[in-house]
Amino acid sequence: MGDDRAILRENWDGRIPVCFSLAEDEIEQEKPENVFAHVPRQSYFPLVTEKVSKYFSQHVDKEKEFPESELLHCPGREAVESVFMSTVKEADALKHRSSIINSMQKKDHKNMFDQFWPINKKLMENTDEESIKYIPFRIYQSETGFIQKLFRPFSEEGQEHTLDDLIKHVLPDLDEDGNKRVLIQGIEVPGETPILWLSEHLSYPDNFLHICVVNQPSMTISDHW
Amino acid sequence: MLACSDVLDDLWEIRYFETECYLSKKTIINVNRNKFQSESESRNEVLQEDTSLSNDEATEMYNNTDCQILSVEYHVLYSESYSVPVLYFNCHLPDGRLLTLNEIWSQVPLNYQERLQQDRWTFLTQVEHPYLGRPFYQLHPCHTDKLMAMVAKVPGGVARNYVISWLSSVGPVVGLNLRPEYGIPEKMAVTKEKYATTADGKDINVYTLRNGRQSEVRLIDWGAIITHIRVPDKNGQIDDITLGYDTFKDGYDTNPFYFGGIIGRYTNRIARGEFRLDDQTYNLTVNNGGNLLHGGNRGFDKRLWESEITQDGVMMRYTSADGEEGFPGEARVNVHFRLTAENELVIDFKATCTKPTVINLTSHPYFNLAGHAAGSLEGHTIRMDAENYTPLNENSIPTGEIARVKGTAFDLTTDTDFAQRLPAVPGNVGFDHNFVVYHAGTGRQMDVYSTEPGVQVYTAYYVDAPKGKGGAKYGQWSGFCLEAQHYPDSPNNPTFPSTTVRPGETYKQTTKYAFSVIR
Repeated sequence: MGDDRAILRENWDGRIPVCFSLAEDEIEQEKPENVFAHVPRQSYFPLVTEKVSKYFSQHVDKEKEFPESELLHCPGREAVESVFMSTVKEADALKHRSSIINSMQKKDHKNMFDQFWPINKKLMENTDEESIKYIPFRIYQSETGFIQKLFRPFSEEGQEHTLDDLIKHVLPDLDEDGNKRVLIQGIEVPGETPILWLSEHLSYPDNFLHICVVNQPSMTISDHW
Repeated sequence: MLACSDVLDDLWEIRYFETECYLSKKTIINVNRNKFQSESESRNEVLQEDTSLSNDEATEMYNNTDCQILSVEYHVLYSESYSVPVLYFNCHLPDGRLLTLNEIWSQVPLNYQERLQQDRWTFLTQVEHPYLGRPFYQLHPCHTDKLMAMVAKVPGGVARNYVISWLSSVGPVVGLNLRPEYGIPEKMAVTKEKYATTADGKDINVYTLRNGRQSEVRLIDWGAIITHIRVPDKNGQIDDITLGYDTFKDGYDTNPFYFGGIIGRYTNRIARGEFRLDDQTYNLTVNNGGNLLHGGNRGFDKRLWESEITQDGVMMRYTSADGEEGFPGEARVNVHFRLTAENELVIDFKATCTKPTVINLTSHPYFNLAGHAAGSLEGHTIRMDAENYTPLNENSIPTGEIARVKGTAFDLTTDTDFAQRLPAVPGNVGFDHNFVVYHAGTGRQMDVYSTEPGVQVYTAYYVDAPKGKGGAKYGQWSGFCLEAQHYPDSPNNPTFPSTTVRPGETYKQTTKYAFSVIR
């Protein structure tokens, strides 16, 4: 697995600057100040927004309805763990037909959330007996949903598939003229990178490559700047 | 499963999302209101599904303080990651509120509660619907393949339909109980209609055999001819894979190429139309190159048979008069056609005779696995477990020798590209049992099994039928026949398996064409 430990380390510490602001239709009195946070990239919102929610709830008189038709309800840490674990299991189903996750004991599953690295090492295994069959990935292009398909790390002739190969396979109609950017972990990854290496080094803790395809920002100066 | 659901009014539908599809069902259930909305202690209630609720009944239940109406939507999707089906569902109160996860857990039947308590966060949770992107509850698929492997071990376990077996096993956890009717094997349906009239004014009927699994076979009682064989390809696309005509007058009346017919009293050739039996010489009609071919001028495929629907198919009967085409004895022939749920066309032959005679029967459909109108045998692979064949002389009659196929064009013992081997003229191949023919493009495969010692392979060299079905033109190499039979000219070759049938004996034969798909 990851021989490039430096990359794994950098990833793990990755953060995203986020600005939280209260929705217009919830404002009762004066608009509260926005909250800025440097959120760990490898985490989930429900785990890092407790303080933010508490802060905003002071400024809201009535309880607005939770948008249950759009968002998963995560009343506690267990709900998040459950989403995390089921994604990890799906990743292993794709990589090893679940053989590795099934050979682990229940306590390993439970501990994965806290003692990530030793357990994750097993899931990243790629030997002859336990070769990786399909690469777990999800591509996010629009506001809702994601694209997930079966994709092998090697071609029939034994050639390593690259990120370009994967994008071509899933989004064959994507603009060729460079209008779109492909981002993983916030980085614009070179298209010729082998997809197996990406899976081993740039996957999120749930063992999936979460790939964003976004529009190239316009070159003209926008209002935000 | 959808077909069964339609019959039962069970409300399952197929829905599409871009290139994917899934099954969906919306229904109303009622549960005990008093036990509802409690935290996750054991419940004593079992979710009852009541598909017979009308609006009035539902309203009445709503007003009844003991009952809580819930509206539930179930989806069955296929998970590519796990290679199994997965059950998703959402459950709303009448005011539109989605049930919380705790409320859902509390509704799981008592007998599953223990398991649920140990493992609920990995058993039944809320996830993002893979197609719709909205929150849905899901029964986790990680143990489905183990469960189904155990079910498959039980005799008759997953035989009929994987989805039905799976859904009937996991559905009850979330209040979805499949009615037992889903498990009953589909009854084969056979219908009969008038098809045409013979020259002398008699009715010809057409029978359609359906097995409820997309396949369909049609027969007419003129010649006991198979006019259509419709089977799916690997993508579920159904095509007719046998050559034929649209109407009686288009060609079945004279049937020069014997499309689809039952051939008799003697299929294939008898040298010079002559044979000796019990010190008597018999002279039969000579109708082809100085020999008898396929029963003579008007063999069984050009006669009107009696016919009737049976418990599992169609029975055709013909009585061939003493002396017909020169054959001795009155021969009574029964041929039964059956289409099984496993997409097999099974033909059982029986015949008896009042005097010693020779009988050799076969069925003669021309196949093209790419579809009857495909026009050539490209893309077909054939394999025949035959070590020997009967070489022919210049009159197309067997020399009497049984020769090995090894090293000759008749060697089809390994997968062979049929079209490229075509110059191997229709030879006689003596052997046992199985032939496999497969078409790569459509993924259609046909296995032929027979109790007969020989199979005639014929690749339509002489076919020239511009008025085929649906405007198709059939020419040379447009289809192939695999006619299970005794060897040609057996009456004149005492070393060949005998075709003699004496009074008190019964000629018997079963030939089966099994259709399947390779993905």
